Amino acid sequence: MCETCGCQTIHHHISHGRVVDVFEGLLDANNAQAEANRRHIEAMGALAINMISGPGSGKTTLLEKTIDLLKTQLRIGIIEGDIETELDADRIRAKGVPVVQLTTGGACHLDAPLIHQGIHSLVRQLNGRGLDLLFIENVGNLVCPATFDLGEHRRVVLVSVPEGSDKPTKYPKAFMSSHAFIITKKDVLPYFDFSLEKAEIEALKLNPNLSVMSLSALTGEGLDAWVLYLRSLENRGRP
Amino acid sequence: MHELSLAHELLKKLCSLAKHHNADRVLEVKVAIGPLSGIVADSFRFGFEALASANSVTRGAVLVIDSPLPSYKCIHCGNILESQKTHPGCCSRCNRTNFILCGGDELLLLQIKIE
Repeated sequence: MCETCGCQTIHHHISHGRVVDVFEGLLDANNAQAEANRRHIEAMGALAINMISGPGSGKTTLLEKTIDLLKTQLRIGIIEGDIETELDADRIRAKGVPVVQLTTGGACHLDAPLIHQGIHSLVRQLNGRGLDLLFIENVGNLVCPATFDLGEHRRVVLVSVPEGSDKPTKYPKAFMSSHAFIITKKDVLPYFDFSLEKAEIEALKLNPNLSVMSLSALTGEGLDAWVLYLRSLENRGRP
Repeated sequence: MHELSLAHELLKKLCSLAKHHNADRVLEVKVAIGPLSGIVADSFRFGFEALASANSVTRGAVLVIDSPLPSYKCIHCGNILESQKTHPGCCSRCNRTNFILCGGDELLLLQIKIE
């Protein structure tokens, strides 16, 4: 029974309320922080790349190879996101570039406030040195990270050959919101039923502006295109 | 599970809106969650109801979820396919496959009813 007027309908009391139009984004708080992060990264003279993929698609391995290839030409920094452990940060640290490990303590994605903390930790490590490229390795998950802007300038989605070429169709949001799509572990292509063509066509259906690349961090095949992509961002992608 | 953190953000916003408008309770909440927003509406409702009941301002608030369907505009011929439940695959006019997505990814708090 309605406590206000005593009527018998369950939801009748709603009509006693005042209606207020709000029209605000549910992600406004995150997006405002993301925008602040973007400005902060630009003020450092850098450009940020958010790497999104399922677990085990080879994000960290690709970053290790990227550092090997670009370390002498560009100043690289990394923010690692994981649910637990410093394992990925240890691998990057061994390459001699500044790295910050963020552990989400169970959360399935990084968000802009976490990246804000990460940038400050990174600035302390840099100790006055400059930065050209900041890679943010998101938590291994092809679903949730796609919803959260971190303040990146480019978003890159990765799928490895063993995962299957149906991933773009199954996880559209990650592909619709990305700038580049990288197919990793190309060296194992002969052993899996993976169609490079199908993966590319399905991804481009969702997002015609995607740059699509396929590579193997193990053999080095296709890494030249990835390096060229990064160098072109560094040259003309600056805001 | 990011639905829970989003529901938590919404409830924080509702409490501050209620305070701002000198209201004691939030009775109804209207949100738009597009099918391409990356948010599962049922999970969001579950998270909202669980968290709303823990606070006297939001306890019992009715959550109304609007889920506007997206439209797709063919980048080749400009044909617009309105309110599509799934990706159209190819254009009904020129048969090609590249579209610009219009809407469907909304994540908005539209309206509240308070007292």
